[in-house]
Amino acid sequence: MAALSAFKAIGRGLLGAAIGLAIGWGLALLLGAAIPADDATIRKPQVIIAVGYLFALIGWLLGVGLWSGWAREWLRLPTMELTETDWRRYFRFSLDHKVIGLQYLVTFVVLMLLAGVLALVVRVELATPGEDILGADGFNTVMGLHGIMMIAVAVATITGGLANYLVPLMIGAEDVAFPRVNALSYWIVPPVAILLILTPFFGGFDTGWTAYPPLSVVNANGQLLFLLAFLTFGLSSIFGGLNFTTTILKLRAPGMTLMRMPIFVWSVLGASLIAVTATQFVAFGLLMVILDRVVGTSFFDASKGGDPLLYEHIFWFYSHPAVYVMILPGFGIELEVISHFSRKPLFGYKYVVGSILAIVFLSMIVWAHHLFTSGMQDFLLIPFMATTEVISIPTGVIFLAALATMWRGRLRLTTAMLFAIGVVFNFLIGGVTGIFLADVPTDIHLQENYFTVAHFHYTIMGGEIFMIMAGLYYWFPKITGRMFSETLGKLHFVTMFVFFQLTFLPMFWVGMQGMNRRVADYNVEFGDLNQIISIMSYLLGASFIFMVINMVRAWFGGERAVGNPWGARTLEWQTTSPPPVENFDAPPEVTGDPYGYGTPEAPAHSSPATGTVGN
Amino acid sequence: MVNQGKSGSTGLSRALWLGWVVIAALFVVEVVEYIVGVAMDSGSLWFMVLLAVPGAGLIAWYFMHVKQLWSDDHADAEPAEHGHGGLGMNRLGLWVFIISETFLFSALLSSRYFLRGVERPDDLNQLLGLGISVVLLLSSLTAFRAEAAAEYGDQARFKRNMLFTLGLGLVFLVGVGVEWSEAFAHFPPDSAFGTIFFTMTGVHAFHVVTGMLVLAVVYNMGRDGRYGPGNYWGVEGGVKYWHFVDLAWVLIYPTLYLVS
Repeated sequence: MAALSAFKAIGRGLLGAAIGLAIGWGLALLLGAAIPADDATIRKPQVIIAVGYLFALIGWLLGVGLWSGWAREWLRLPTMELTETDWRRYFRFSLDHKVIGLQYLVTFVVLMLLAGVLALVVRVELATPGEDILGADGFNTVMGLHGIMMIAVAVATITGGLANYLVPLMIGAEDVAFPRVNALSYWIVPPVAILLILTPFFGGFDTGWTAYPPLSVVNANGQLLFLLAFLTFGLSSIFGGLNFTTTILKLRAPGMTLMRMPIFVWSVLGASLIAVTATQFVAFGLLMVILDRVVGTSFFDASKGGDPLLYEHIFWFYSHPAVYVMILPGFGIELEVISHFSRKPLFGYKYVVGSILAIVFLSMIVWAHHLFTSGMQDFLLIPFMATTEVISIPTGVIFLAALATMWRGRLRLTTAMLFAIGVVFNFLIGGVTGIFLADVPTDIHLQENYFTVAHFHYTIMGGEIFMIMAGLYYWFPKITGRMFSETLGKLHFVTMFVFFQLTFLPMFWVGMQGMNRRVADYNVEFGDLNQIISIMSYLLGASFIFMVINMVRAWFGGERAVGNPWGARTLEWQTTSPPPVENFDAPPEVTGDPYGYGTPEAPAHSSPATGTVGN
Repeated sequence: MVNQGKSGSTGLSRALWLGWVVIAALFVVEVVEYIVGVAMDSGSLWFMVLLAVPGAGLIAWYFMHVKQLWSDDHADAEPAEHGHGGLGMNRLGLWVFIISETFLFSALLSSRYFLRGVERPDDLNQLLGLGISVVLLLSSLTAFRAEAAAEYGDQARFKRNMLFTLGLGLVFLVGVGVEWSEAFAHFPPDSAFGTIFFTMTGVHAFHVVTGMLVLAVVYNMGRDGRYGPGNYWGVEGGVKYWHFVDLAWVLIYPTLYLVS
């Protein structure tokens, strides 16, 4: 019975969603009557989906905890606070940032593995020329689902999961600024997942994750589900960014000046600033497509004065900065791990902070490099080429800071450190190949082929996902209170690193030779290489088995972790593993630099401190 | 952190007086825009920007107290007690949300200029447009007065002005409804200008509705004296959001009705 009671909140949420769906459906039928008969057959189902979903979403949120924990206050009723402290709180509308962080982490690591399986399905289709198992439409949907799910994973695993768990700890706060908004931002995510899973039953969507009109206005209803899911996810991202910005600026412990913050906190601040601003643009872009489909406006219908280019501008105004929402906190993890395991102060801390802020700004003015082949005005080409080149300067500063921190350090090659070092190699390739995509003449050839796919995966998978792995292994003892097996961890790193190279390096080659991306079929001459790529990708997928075994085993039976197993100086390690509900037994006081390794006279970062000072 | 309670009728009457001055200035801005845009039929974009931006600035400075952001407890200062950022934290959080929303409205405005340039159909009901703009500005004044009343502990005035604000919001929505029914005949949603017109007014009206919901909740929670000097964040937050919805309209109105 106790086990069953854990799912009461989710049950109430589902009930709320069902009631909401019914209300929305009814309303949609009334609204649908007003649609002119000539396009009613196409638009009526879409009105039902859109309005039904909107009400189902509200019903779900009210049922799952918004009503009992928040909205009752608006009607002057007493709110019901969650009191459980056992495992059941992980299935409830908990306000504890550590619970929410773990909810995010587990959800998105599972989602990552699922989306990884989809990538393998894509590779099965691409193993030989011709349309094999999926067919053109099936391929498009599977590829699009892989894309959007991984985008969500890349955005939310750090900013939702790790940041949620760690930022309050690292700045010495008890919780985030707005715990209820925080819980809301997590519980918005399950409907997103459900919508995406349902898309194949509504005809799938064949636009890829970018959803360019005019195709996205006229294709199957699965596209509408995709648009609604993306829009909802954006909302979650905005709430998260709002929370972290405020938390970091207002809830730091006494003595934690801005320039004493661990670099991970800075990087999350940077990502949050992008998330709260640019995300509104993609929300509006998606809204325009939804309106074109459901209401019948003509944003993108050129015959009625619309212009599909508008969508591309608006979409990339968000979606380019979005890669910095992914990679900036990744850089933060990278530098944390490298500094702590090199036993050296972070090189050029101030310059790294400046670079993060520079990237936040520059990321907003580079978007049109995604449009070099779109037919936009020619005079825009050179300015956007220039800004894109310029953004490599702050990125390079961060990259050099990582190298210089390791230089002559006492490297401890733990699993986390290995992943961080792997990033240095991968990101170098990702960064250098990016230059060819930033330059207009080469981009015109490379834009639509596998060179771009390889570049993207070298930066986001070889970069950010490796960084996430570094972070997961680094903070695993803190979060679970258990130690994992370093041997299995290192096996995971070696296999993942090697097969990652073997999967994606050949893609640069087939791309330059002209193999188109986003297509199920290709020229027979690329058959051999693609077969190799596919086999390597299966092995890359298999490398994650080490991670799953390692983490599951450690979590349920691993050796207990002490408070500070790595001897790190930052605040999150100066408390028990896992931390108590209020994070610290006594409010911490910050007295020094977070990275004073190797200098015996450096003051401790905080008091009380358990970390080894010096080296 | 609890802000300093204020009392005394001089403080309140000064605040109320300031509200009238600001609203008068805003009316002047709207009317000059209207005369230049419609009566003189020369709605140059630059002229409208020149007027609308200071108008929005007046709202942000005097009604939304943007300077609190850097004048009250500073980001670097120690929070009042462990784990509580207090009023300064709430204010910053709301401003971050508002800044986020400005990006949504910038996307709306840029789409209008991207798709239709400064095209202005002759069928726009100009008088109605001016009318609902004035109504919404007035509602900002009453919201401002409600906040000042709560700040100085004048419960009756607080409740009265909250109801005025909600009423004016309703009048605005009715105005938009009338506008929509006329617009359907002249430029339906699937026409070039109709697409922009219905989306911009629709997104804005959606914000008016949510703002009214927030204000209704604030009124309901505060109707038996919950808010007073030193404890009126609920009112301040709701009212700030309402002012923002008004600020957005100050930019949308010339964009939709006046530039040509």
